[in-house]
Amino acid sequence: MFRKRTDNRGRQKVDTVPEIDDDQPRNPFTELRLLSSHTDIVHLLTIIDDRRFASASDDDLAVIWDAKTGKRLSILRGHSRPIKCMLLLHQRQEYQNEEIAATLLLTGSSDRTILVWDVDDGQCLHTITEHCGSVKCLVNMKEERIFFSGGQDLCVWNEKGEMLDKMARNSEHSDIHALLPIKNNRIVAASNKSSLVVYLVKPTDDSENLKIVEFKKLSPHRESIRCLINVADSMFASASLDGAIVLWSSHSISYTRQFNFVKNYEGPNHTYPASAQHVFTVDQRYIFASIGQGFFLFDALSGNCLAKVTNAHHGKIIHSVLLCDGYILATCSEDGSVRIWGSPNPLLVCDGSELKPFTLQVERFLGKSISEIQNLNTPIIPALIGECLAHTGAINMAVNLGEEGFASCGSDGLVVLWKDGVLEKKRRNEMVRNILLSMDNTA
Amino acid sequence: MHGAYDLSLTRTNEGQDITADEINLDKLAYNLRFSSDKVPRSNPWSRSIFNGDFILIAEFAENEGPKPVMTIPKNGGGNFDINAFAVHVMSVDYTQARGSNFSIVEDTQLFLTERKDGIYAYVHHFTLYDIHARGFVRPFCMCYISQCKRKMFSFLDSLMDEFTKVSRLFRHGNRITFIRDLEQRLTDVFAMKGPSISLENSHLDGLIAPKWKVQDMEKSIRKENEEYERILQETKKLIEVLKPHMVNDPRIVQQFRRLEDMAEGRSRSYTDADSCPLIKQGTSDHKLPSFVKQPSLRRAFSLPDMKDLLKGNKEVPVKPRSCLPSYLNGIKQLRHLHDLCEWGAKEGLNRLRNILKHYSRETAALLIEQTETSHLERFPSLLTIGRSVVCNVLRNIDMKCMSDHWNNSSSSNPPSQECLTRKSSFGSLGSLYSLESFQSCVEDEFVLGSSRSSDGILSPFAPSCSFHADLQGGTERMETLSCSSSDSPRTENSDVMSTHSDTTLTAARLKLSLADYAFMDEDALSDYNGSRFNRQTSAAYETNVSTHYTQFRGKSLSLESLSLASSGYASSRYHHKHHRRKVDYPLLQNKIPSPLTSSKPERIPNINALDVPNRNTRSTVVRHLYKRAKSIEGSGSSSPSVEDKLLQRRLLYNLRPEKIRLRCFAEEVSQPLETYTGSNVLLLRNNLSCGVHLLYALLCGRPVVVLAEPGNERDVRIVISALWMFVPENMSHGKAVDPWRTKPLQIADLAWLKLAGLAKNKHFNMVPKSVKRFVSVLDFEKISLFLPFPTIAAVDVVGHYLRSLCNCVNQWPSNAALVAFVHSVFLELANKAYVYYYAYCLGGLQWCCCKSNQRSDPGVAVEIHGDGSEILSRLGVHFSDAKIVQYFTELIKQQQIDYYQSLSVDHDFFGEGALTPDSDSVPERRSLLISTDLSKCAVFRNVKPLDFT
Repeated sequence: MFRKRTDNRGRQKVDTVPEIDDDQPRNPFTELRLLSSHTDIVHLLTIIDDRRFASASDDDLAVIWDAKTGKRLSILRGHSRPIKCMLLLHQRQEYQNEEIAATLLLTGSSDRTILVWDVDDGQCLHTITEHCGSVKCLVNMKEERIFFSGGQDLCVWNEKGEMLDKMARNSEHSDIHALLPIKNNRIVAASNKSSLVVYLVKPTDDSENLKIVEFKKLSPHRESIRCLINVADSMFASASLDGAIVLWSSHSISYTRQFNFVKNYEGPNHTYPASAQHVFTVDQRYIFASIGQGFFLFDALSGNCLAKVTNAHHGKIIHSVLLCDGYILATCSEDGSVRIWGSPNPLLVCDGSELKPFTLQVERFLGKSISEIQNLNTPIIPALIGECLAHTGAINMAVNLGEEGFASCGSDGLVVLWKDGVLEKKRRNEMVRNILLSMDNTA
Repeated sequence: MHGAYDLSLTRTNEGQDITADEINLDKLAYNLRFSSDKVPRSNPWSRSIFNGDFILIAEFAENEGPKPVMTIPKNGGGNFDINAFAVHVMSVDYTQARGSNFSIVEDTQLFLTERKDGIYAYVHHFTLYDIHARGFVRPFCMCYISQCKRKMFSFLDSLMDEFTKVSRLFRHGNRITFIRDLEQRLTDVFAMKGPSISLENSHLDGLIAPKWKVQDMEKSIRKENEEYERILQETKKLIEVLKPHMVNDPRIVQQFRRLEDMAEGRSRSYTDADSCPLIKQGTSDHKLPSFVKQPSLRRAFSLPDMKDLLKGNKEVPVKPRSCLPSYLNGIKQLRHLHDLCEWGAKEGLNRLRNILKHYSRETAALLIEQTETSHLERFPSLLTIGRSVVCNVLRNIDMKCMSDHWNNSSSSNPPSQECLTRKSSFGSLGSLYSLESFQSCVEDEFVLGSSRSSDGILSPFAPSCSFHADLQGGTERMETLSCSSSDSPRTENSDVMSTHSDTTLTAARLKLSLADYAFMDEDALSDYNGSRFNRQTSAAYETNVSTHYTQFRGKSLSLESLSLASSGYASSRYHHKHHRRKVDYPLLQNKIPSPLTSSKPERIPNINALDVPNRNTRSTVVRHLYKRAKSIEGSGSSSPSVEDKLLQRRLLYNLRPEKIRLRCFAEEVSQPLETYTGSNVLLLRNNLSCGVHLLYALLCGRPVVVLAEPGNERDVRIVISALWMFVPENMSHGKAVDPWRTKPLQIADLAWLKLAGLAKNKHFNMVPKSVKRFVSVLDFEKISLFLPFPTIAAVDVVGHYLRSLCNCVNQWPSNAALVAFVHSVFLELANKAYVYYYAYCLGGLQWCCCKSNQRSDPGVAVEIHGDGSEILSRLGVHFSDAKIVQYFTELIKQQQIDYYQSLSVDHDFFGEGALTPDSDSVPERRSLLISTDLSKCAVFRNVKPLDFT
């Protein structure tokens, strides 16, 4: 990699963005399907099952797609304002006196409603209007069979869509944009502020309803919090605009550790070049963080940085996802490209055919065994193994569809389904065979 | 040229039989000539009597004896003595003995060889009826005259077929006229018989001097009445004889009715502007003054002259029929074919023209085309490159597992050569007048199988230089299957359209509706040169077809119905799926008209991408061709703006992605026209040294973009038209080439676009970053090429096939020769792809055996190891060639899958549940698939400058 001469210490940090200089032999995604149904920015993707996923867009629609063929299965029409959040609910109990084992999709929108959809036929089953203000986030607490919606207020609902309690946050100026249920019936809420609020959900005295009470306020961040994730059962993490990632104990709700402390985080013109856009965890221990134009891999237990690319894209990385059982990291950026990264060790092939003794995703991604990883002194620099170009604007999100590749959505209104070309070819062989065969089934 | 000349010299001493071959050799030699294709074809030392085949229509005129009526083309025959030939042919008294009773005469066909002139002729005698003719009969014959024995022998059957159809048209039109005349006479006579006395009296009182004796009057009147009675009886008998023959074919009647409807619509608008010259051709006698063009002379029986005179003077307003201007009385003039047959003549002559156009080509080309037509049989597995048929992987394949389905028609009805040769299409008016359309055998099979559909009697022959796999033609087929009335909504639609354009446009030419192209042709033939004419009709054809077959989905159904209909009896043997589909038919049919219209606006932006709003890209092709033709041939007979406007108007309605029209390469070689895609290949090869990279990119499915300044549009179009020849197409996608676009490329375009000319624009990046990686760009002005890097090495080192294509050492004498060679290379590659398809993609023999053993579990996949590279290397296909071969097979697979999915689109994975109320048209629900090539790009420079002047 070309590196500038380092007279100036300030410049030393600015690596050039790596570029593809080969035919991308390790990039399996040679086929793509354009899923064009949206007419506005697509913000969200949600996996429904191994065959379906949903996308939500600013054109007030959500669309359910077939992950294999890219076929549009249904359009969820009902909102009058952009959809801000989606939540998948597996409802096992009876709904309107009928025993349904249906999968429901909840969509929260700026039009202050939450709509409940049957993902199988795209019918709107229920409209929840009690939420005041735009619905910014939806999370569920599985064991309690309740779900929360956040926005100006924080509401808790049972699976039937009946409101159990509403926490009016009238004094607060900023809406809740992220919620994270943690153990002990607590829920962490993040708004555009530097502090987190932990709420406790407890039964009311008559034990009929639930009640939300504020439990604790956490404010170690210097800037507003961008994301909240569960790292493990006992840990959760929050990442903020200044790039810092703070690890918390979910048991004691206390500060544990902080990664990536950036001194001058604000940057010129308040661009926050090191802001944390997205964080996710693997193996209940390792945190992938998209910070600024680069990404980092931290070990939550040791606090080490295992891998990093500080300048991975020409624009900020908005979202990232681990694909192919962890062999590939895909980073979605404002610059309109999805770049895929893999181990710098070229022996690893991500077609899954090789039986590497790796069990952890981190091992696969880094191409090293766990013991090697723990003894790392310097962060590994993953190799750029491919670039997926199809979007013409910022890419907002990508989801892993497993064998079906991955899907990305962008501000150009497109959802792109990236497919493993070799696999698809084989599938087509199979399909052609079956077609010819099915013509034969005269019995 | 020299070669040809020598050949003809050496052959002078040999027998006469060789003459026919000699012509062919001459033509073949033409292809080997050094000069380019633009040199006119005529040979100043030609020994032959006439240049090409021609059709002669002759009649036995009762007043003149045998005489030629017309030839097609107008000056057909050259020095050949058509008069003598007409005498020779017509002097045969082939009809049955003419007894006193009127009877219907059947056609007689005969094959004629004239050694003296070295000509071979197919002669088709038919008889028309004319109320004014002696014995009411007018013997006619049509002859196809050629100097090629082989052609005549090979295609005698199909010629006979086609001519029979034409004669049926003639006869049908004629019978309508004849019956009408007879009935008219009947009423006339009735009318005259009764009131004649009083009428005569009153008139006579006034006019004729009283010296006439009442006795004479009475006598003559009695005589007259006897005469009337005789005529009455005679006419009644005639009608009696004729009537059973009238309704022998309801389909003809339907077609005629449709034609008449269209004409009526037109003539209605003509009445507004009756300056139109076509008024003469109008249908109904009642609207037109009878003396304009009704030489309805009374010949068959004669009334007393006096009567005639009298009535002529007095009773014009009462009985226009029987009254003629006196000046016509003395002239012995027979009615013309057009008057005898009206619509039949129109139709028939047009069809004859098409027949000639088709069969006048070289025999070799005809034979190759005949062979290649059989490739169209199972079109989902057809590989086409540059719109010409290359190979069909399922052709003549009788895999056990497939035979039941695919060949079920053959079990009941073996697809003989006969049924593979082109037949006519159903009476869609678009193809009716098109010289470019060709009914694929797929439909023919269908036609044979279905009793409801037209069996092609009426359907236009519409043969031509290009046959097409009529992918979308299915809608109409379906209608024939389903609906009871022949008038489909779409037909009416086109009617509306034509009247619409009639009323709004002012120029006389613009008043033509689609159907008028038929009439225009006659003018056009004389006014314009051939290729112009050709383009015109094809343009009309396309628009019309598109308005007719707007439903994309129809194709699948039609094919399904094909198998269903063609083996209706065997339906019990069908797979349950088929049953279900059959059951679903009514449902689907009902759906068709409505989603069709609703889906239009949504689909088009996707498929046709973005072009100038109301002129889709296809129109630009047509326009361009037209333009080019104009510039090259310099024919300025009509103003282009008018043409353009017309086209634009038409193409407003062209809301469907065009259907792919396929062609046989032989015709390209034998008849190199400017309009063919391969017409500039030689030019390209000689001027573009990096062309091989472009060709490689095209052949392995990587889109190629030619980026140029808007000023160079014309040149770019030429480049595109040359490169077009190398574009393998997915037939289920429709078009793959966009000769000139001014909007930036988008990622969605790559789903279908394989080749495009792109206008440079200072303000936009025409090839945005999201697309750039996946396309090869030729910068027309800078002469540089952005291409995947390894191609240069690969092609130069091992790209065996491509290298031979672009080897500069080879000097190609003509474009046609190069085109032929290119096709041989395609065939070779396609053969490799064929083996690869079976050996790898289908898993080889092992799979077939496996399948036949374990039929019960179709889902069990047979593991096929490896990626096929082993098979490819065994085939001797390496590196870059391998990529091409793999792409070919991918394309075929994709087509088959697309086809299958379109068949079962309503019964897909999620079944009916997926059909939510808000789900839109079916194709919309499918996503665009783009296979990308991630190769690293590099810039190449052309060694030679591009010079297209």
